[in-house]
Amino acid sequence: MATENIHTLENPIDVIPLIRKAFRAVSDRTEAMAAEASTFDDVLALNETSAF
Amino acid sequence: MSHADEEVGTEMSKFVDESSKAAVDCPVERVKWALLEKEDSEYARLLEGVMDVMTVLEEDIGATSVIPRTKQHLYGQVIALRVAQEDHLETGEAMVIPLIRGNLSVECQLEAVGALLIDHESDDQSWVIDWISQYFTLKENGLLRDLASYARQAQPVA
Repeated sequence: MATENIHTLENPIDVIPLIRKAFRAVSDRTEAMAAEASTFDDVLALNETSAF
Repeated sequence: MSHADEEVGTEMSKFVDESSKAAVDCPVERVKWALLEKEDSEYARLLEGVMDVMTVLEEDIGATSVIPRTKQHLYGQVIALRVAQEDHLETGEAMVIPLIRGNLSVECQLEAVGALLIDHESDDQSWVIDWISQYFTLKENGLLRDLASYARQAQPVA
């Protein structure tokens, strides 16, 4: 589901997996940032991502 | 609370009441309710995970460098949060969305989705759509914009 592209919305509620695709993309980025964090600026950048 | 919110709430409450009564005698309904309760606990775990990550971040703001132990701690908390999020999303996709699809009318679904996508209290009502759309394909963005347009037409401004 995470990387699937969605081609139709048969019901309005079917937009939820689409919204979650965005959440998962942010999670991917956050995970990568946490893995690479080694300076104060890295932590600050991660904090800004989490603050959303 | 807007009229639209009340209608969605009423329809959902009716469904929950009926399902709750049916759960007394029906094993399938009991399983359904058990899974929904699991979803609640997953959501609570997700919030705890967010707080744990925020705590690590707050402790390290001000440090000039991130020591390996802290880095490991931070990464561990982010991974724990990721797992909690995935559990929560998977339960939602497997259990909650099919229930909503099967029990709420298209109009009510549209109102509920509109409340998620359109922030009537913000100066920039489309900020949610603008934010999530950066992660979508052209086709998905088209679907999202169409749905938001229908939702705007269906949802009276409070």
